[in-house]
Amino acid sequence: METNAIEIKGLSKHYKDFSLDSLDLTLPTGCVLGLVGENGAGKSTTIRLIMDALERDGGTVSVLGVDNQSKAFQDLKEDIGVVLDETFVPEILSAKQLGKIMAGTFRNWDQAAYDGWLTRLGLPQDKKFKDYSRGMTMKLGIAAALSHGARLLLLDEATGGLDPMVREELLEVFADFAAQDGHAVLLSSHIVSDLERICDYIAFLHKGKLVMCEEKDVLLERYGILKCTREQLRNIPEEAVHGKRVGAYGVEALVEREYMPRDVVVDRATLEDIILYLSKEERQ
Amino acid sequence: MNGLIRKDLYVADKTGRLLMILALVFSLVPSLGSFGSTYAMMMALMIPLNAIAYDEKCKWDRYAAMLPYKVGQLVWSKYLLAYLFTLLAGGIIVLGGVLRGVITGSAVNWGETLEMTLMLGVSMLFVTALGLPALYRFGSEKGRFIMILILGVGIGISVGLMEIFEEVPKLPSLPLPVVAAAIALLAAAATCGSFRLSVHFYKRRLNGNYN
Repeated sequence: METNAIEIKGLSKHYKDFSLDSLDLTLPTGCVLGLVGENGAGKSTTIRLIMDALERDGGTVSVLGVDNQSKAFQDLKEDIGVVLDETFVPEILSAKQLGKIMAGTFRNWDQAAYDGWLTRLGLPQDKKFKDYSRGMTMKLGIAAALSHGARLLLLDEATGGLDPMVREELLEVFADFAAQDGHAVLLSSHIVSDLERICDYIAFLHKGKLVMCEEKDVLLERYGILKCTREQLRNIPEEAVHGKRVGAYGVEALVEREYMPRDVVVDRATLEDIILYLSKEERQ
Repeated sequence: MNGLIRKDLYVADKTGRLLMILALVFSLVPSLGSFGSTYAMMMALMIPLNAIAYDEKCKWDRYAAMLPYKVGQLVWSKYLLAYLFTLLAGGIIVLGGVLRGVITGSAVNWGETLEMTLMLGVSMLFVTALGLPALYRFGSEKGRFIMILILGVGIGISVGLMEIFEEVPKLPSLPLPVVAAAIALLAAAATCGSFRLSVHFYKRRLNGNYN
């Protein structure tokens, strides 16, 4: 069995107005990797490049131990469930018809599993997609992705537009999926709290560059929030500070605990704090 | 491939039925003659055109690229759809000819009906071969106009072919099987070239080169 579900090395893709620049990323099997970044950071481009749906300009991508430009990758797609930020299915189709299309697409299509997911997610079989809400559309994409025995899930903003109850349920589904032998999940999302809940690793993309890729627990351990006055901040080593917010009554800063004096109290940072401050630092 | 054809048939469902009913109506009207049959055959071409327009509208290609299909399969499914409906339209023209005979009380001229249907069908092979790369290159909006232009040329070709066939008995050096084989070979070559071109355009479109 492969130790890594995805191995990306030096992946590049250049457009006129955007470049994904020499991306290195690894998703170990049994793990959930959260891909976070602002709109246009390159998350969807990365997912499309992983699936070889775009011509890349450089680098290599290995998925479940197979080079994604080899002939074997075509068969391997059977083992990859993908949910895009929109379902991209003609709006005049129904969930029942999509099931029949997928049955003619995937060798391992499990109709009973699909019907089960439709029931569990409260999706009607005969309703046309044009009458679906965005949340329902996303749920349908997820139902399809989970019904052909995939070992790897690639989820592009798959929890966007879902109500908190359904998001909660689906995050559990994704976590359970990743916990199965040889499985893994790559989840891109704007909702950092979702990533904090289920991800083992966090990769932060900014304008096509990988700012960091770390174990979530390491990140939460490494960074903290310092609340102090401007004068107190001046006494903090420069390398410890990774962005600050100056207010009328004081300063709030993201700091690296390692460089902090022992007598200074540092609060726990959420993943959202870390991402926001780091992205602010990158912009500066 | 099965799933792709099924998807296009679901998409074509209502429009397809309507177009095929129209095709039957056109092939039934005696005063329209061969024009009615030609028009009926043209209806078939609307199906792949609509299917590609639907794909563009919902960005199906982005999703399809994630599924276990080769680019060639994604493109070839539209050719198959065109052939499927051409075959269906051909059947409808023959049925129209039979019904017309029943309604008017005249005997069905099987030879003439089959010959015309065959010629129209062959012309459609050429129109499909010329039209689909244009649709993949320019998209369904601009491609639609190019398709109409190609249809005009196609009709011209079919009329020309019918006249050639009328002349065939007078041309001993060109027996019917030879002409038929030459046309079949030409159609196969055109389809082969057309398919390769469509795949090339499709890949470039998927890569954002035409957006």
